[in-house]
Amino acid sequence: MWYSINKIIKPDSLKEAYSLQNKTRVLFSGGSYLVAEKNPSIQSLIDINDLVGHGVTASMEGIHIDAGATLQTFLDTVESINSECRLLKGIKYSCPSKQIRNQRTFGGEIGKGRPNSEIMVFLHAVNAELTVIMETEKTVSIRDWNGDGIITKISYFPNQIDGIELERFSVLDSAPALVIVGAIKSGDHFEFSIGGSSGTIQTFSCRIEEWSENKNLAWAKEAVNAFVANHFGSLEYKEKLIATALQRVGETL
Amino acid sequence: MIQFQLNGTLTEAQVRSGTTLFDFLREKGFFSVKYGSDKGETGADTVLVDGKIMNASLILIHTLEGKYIETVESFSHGQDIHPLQDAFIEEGAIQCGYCTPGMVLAIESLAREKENPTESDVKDVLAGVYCRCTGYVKPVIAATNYLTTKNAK
Repeated sequence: MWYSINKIIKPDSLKEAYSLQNKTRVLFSGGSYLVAEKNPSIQSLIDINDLVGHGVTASMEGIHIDAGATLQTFLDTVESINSECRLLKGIKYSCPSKQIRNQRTFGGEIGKGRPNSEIMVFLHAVNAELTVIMETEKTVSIRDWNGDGIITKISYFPNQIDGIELERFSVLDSAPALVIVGAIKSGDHFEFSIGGSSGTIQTFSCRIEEWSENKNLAWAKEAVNAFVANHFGSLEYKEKLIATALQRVGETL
Repeated sequence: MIQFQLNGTLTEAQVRSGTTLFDFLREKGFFSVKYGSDKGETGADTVLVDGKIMNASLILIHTLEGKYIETVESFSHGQDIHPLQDAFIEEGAIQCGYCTPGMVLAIESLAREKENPTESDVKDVLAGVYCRCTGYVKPVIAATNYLTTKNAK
């Protein structure tokens, strides 16, 4: 029981839903994060389930994911088309429970913005494009999105990317990752996104000919500032994990 | 007022807004749906919603209008039990039994979704159900036996 909830609001449009939000009224779609947390300061839920799409369209030109599509819908749709898609693995690492994958939506995952989500690091690496409703509809890069607005669609374009890799380090295979590195090769450059048990996801890029072990070490030194030392390891340890992950994905690409 | 099918019976729920499906089912006496955590970490609260496994603790009841809910109570009638339950007994895949309804529902959902599920598919659906006494070896064997027999028919 989520005792503080006293009202479910069903708006007629996403623009109306956007205007209704405040600290005590929040958007509700899949609900796997919200209901798990049961924040007592939230009193009303703005249910947008009937206002967002729930499908996934995959072709060589682009992958388009409706914000209301569940993680499992993506797996079921894309696995038969491209079983090598790195996001499939990312989803299973990020959310091993099929029960939750059947409920958790992509919009909710991005709205939550967990840096230790393989899905988030992947979408940052491919620089996914978000379609967002505010007063008007606009598209924004996931790297630039400040959290304002209602996401309606997530798109990325594999045909503009020559290679994608995802590497993670965790205490156990089934445990949340300490370090996640997603990388793409596109034209003459590499782009690396670094997440994990950090405060944010950071992105670094360079021309392929400029990429070197020393560059990885410098990026790792900079990126580790967003991490904290804890019982899983010191900052020095995590810096080395980041450098190793960068090296591995770069070499694979 | 929300209406949905619960184990084949049209059910009406008139409850306050923050009620979860878990709260509702326990109050109505569906005790196969167990408390594990409020965050869906254990899968002891697994139910089928339109044939898909979900955590009852994470589902607010207002989202269930027109849905078809199944709990493991619908799998047996007295001594007449589901073949998958038989497979669990045959294999001795049960100790305390707390997580077993969740495992049974998870495997049954897989059997309905895929014609020839692999062992990897079985492990994937069981990943959302924590067992801390029997473990997973015997449930995986029981599931494989059930799925093999089912597909042979």
